Amino acid sequence: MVPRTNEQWLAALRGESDERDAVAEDLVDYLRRALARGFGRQLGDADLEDLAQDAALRVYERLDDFRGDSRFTTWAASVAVNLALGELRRRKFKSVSLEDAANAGRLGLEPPVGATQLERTQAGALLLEAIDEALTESQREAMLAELGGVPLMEIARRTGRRRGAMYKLMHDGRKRLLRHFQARGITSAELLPEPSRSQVVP
Amino acid sequence: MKDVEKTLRRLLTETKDEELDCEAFQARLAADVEGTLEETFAALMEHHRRICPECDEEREILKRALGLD
Repeated sequence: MVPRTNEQWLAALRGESDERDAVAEDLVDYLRRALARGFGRQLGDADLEDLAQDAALRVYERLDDFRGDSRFTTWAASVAVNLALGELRRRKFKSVSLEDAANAGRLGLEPPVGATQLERTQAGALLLEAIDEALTESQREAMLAELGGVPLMEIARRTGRRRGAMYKLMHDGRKRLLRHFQARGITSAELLPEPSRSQVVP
Repeated sequence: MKDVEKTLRRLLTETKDEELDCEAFQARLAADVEGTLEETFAALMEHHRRICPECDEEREILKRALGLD
């Protein structure tokens, strides 16, 4: 591939030079090789070709988002990796409903069958109680589904939210949980998993 | 302690008032892997990676894709 400056890439892809087609082909070729290195055997030849083409189109659509604080090719590769990961996660979780994932997340916090009264007032049970009391329905469903193993990116896609908006929803949810605990005299340090807590307070 | 509980406890203890969201992380990821971000912002990126395993995975794959691993 011919070495180009960021400005040369941008000018060509915006049609401001006479080598647009050649540059567009170089971009697809570059992204195909980058995806092959990044994902290895997770992507076959047909996937690589399709994803490289789709990624090049996305790069072209988002040229104005390029901040100029890296090499253009690095940014383009980041766009391609993001697109490919989204596709792989969509395939991996296509048979998992958010409801089932949320139930799995809930099960992971529930006290074991036959738990003592003490166990029911500890740890996971308190976390689950906080989730049920302090979170909005959207936050509760998304948080439990995430704890049940579904990536936030996939939860966002299925609920029609942007990934950034989904992160903010969860961030606000975590802050609500912390306020819930603080109101009950439980500090964030006390929430640390046991091994970490012993490291903090020897 | 169950893994789900450990994960949630860890997330809560890592929570800050201001955090980068995934889109802001994605927008700076190229500069991050090239090491050109200013220190303060690089710390925000690192914090986001601790909260968000998906973005952390994305960064690792990008580094591999660029031959930076």
